[in-house]
Amino acid sequence: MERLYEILEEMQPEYDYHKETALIDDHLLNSLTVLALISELEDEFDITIPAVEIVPENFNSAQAMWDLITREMRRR
Amino acid sequence: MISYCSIEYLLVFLPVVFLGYQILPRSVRRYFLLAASYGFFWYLSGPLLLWHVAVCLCVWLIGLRLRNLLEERDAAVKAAERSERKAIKAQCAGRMRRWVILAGVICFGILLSLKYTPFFVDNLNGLFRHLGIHVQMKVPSFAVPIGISFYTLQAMSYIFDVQQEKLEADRNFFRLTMWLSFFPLLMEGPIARYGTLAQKIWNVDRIQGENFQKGLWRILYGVMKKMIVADRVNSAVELLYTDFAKYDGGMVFLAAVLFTCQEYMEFSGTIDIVIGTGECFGFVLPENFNQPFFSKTISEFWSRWHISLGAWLRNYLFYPLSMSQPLKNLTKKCRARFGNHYGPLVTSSIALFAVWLFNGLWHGAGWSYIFFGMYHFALIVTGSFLAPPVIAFCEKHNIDRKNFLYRLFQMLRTALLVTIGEMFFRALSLKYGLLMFARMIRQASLQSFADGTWLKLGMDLQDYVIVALTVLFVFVISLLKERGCNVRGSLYAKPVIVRALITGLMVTLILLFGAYGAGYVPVDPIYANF
Amino acid sequence: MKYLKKIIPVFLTLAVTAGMLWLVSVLTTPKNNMQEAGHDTWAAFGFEAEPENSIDVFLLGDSESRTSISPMELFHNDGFTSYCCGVNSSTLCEVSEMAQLVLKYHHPKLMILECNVIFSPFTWQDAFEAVSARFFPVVHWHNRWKTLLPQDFTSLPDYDNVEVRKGYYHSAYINEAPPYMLDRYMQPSEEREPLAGISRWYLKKIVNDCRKQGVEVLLLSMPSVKNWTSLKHNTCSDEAQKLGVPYVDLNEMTEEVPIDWNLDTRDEGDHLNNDGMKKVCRWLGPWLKETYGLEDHRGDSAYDKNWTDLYEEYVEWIS
Repeated sequence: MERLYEILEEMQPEYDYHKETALIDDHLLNSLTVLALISELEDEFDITIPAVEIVPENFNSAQAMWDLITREMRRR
Repeated sequence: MISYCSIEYLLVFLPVVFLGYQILPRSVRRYFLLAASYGFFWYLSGPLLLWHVAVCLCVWLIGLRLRNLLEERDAAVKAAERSERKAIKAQCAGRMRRWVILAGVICFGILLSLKYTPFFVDNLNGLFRHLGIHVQMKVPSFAVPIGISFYTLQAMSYIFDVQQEKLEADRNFFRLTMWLSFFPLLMEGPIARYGTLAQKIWNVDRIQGENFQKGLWRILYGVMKKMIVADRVNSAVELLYTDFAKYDGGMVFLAAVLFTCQEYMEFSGTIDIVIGTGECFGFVLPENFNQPFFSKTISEFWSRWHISLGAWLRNYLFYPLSMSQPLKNLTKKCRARFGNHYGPLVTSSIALFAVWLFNGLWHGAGWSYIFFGMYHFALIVTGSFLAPPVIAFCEKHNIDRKNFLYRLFQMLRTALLVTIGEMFFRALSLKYGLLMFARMIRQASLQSFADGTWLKLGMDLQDYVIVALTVLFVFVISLLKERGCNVRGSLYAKPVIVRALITGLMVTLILLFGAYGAGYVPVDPIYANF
Repeated sequence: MKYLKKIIPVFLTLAVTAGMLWLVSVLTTPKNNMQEAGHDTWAAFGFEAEPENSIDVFLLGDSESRTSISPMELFHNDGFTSYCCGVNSSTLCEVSEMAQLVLKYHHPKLMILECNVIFSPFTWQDAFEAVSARFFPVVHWHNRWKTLLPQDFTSLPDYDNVEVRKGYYHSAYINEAPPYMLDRYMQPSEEREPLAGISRWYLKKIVNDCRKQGVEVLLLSMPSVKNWTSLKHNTCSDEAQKLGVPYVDLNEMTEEVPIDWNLDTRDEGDHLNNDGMKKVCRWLGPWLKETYGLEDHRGDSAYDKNWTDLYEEYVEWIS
């Protein structure tokens, strides 16, 4: 989880990822950042995120992203 | 053309449906609603209804086939050794893909052949002429069923969702058909997904007083937008777009502004009527607009304007494309080379190009629509490309990007860009669009406002004033919504007599200031032809 | 009690809405049957200013009706009173509304329906609008919000402006009908002009409404090179027979009503001018008087104020 925060900070340092819960809905992260993020996460955690999982609910908060990552790690 | 904002829909069809719905027993109610939807379809498109039935059948059967495949797969996976599981899954995915492709070929095939054949044949003829080949085909013309572009996308979203295991295929043909033909959604969307809506409609719960009152307000709000603004500016828009060559640049700009205004009021007004109708029954239809003119960038604009189309394109075209293996690899390479911003920009530009080509073509078979798509594609890519330098520039010169004035500047800029795009969208053809744009720039002048030409377009000063006041009213409501205020909720909390006064006032304002009757030609539903 | 709680808001809403619509209706309705008051068809509504039951014959239709017959002319020559309620480019649904309004104020002997209006196309939506305008005139007058006058806020509608021309639309212009039109005019034919179902329905309704009040109906075609054909004649003649009402086509009566299309038309064979109108009245007046046994009011002092005394002014208008 800490590693995720680091990645997010690195991508776009402006927001407090511990607090934000509507990163997508409030247009804080755009699709470019999401693409970069996915690519980074896939490398970092050695997972493949299918296109199906790219829905706002999975990227609105750091926690949601973490859930997604653990889900995909288990599936591996 | 008939629209939702008509006597037959609002004063005949709807009351009959509401009444029938309320007094029939629940078991009959859902078939009544289905019959009403198909009756509405028949009234608009006659026997072309069969095309719709064909799509429903195709989607239903292929959905069931996919469901079977999934069930077989799950059984096989359970029985198999751990090592074999991956192979079984892959095999199933391959089979499913074939069925999905079949569904796509049928659904999009019908759409393409009915709607786009004339366009392609015409352009092929042009190409042959150009190449000196003496083959000229007759340009066919087909009658197109109402809302075909909308229900085709809806049908495909169902197939994709089943394939991706987001939902289970429906065994009940009527439930599926009900969702694909629900009468408010037929003409101009929004493109509603099966998962959020189908069961809700199928439940056919009794109409509740609160829902009905709020739905009615929403319908009246939509009628107001349509009749007071969209219909009132119609004559000026018609005139300016046909005879723009007689006017100077200022008038061409006025044409663009008036049309943007008209289109927003017409489209969002119709959607208000649609969602209001759903709300009366107690069905929550997806929103299609989220105060688009408060957008700070073009890409934000498209997440606030025609949301359901944007969502469809994002879910079923943009992400699958940009997450495909070749593009993923490209993203990786580019990120290493150009960094976290420009790296993905390369990949997403490729995916975005596909999205905007599709978006343009979806709006209609014509070069002006393709240009419209490409215009927005170019703006979005440019916007992303310029974002880092702009941020750097602002930081260097100490400009606060969260400052109100800066945001206002962003919103006005976005609105201006959108307005120019809409000019090409409405122009009679791409050639005329370009001519209009050239005229707007080259002959920029305020002369026509000074000498009163702007008052001779079929709109007098009072017309402009009432249009401006209504737009202002819509702006205030939008601002309240933007601030998170639940306008209708708080109005409903007021005493009965206040609520009655609000309803009465809205009806009165519509009948007093609406542009109807002798001397007015209401605008045709702009999106119903798509 | 629970039922009552549900039904009260519905009725309250309907009542409040109706009340507000009535208010803006009163506001937007012109306060008199005068152009200066903002009335678009003031001449047709002058019958409301005539004393109750003082009119023997009413004429309904479109512009053909109000350019071919002049009530003042008929009164001067033959002594019976009439009024022309024709409205330019009217439709049958509007004519039907007009007929009901007329029957509310007057009890004429005869209602003449001019026939060209039967063929004006309209939709059921138009008919709906016409009926709603009866209950909420704002539906018709809504555009007047742009031109409201001070009196609109201070007084109630009261149509008391006595029209000198009694609905007749005068013109002394002479614009001859082009020869190609004359060649085509009234070419014999066995075919019928198609008539929409809704028009047929309204025609029947108007005739029945009049009959219920004991008012006789006459279908009458006015001379018009531009608008009239044998096809229309045939259809009207069929309909008249079906409804059991008499039908007279002035286009066929070239001996009794000798219209000279080089001199008697104001706009190239579309409408008659004053001279044409006089030719129509010269034959129609005595014929109506005899056929329907109409009373001669000339010399009756009750008719001095609105008829006899106004004749001179009328003559000034049409000369």
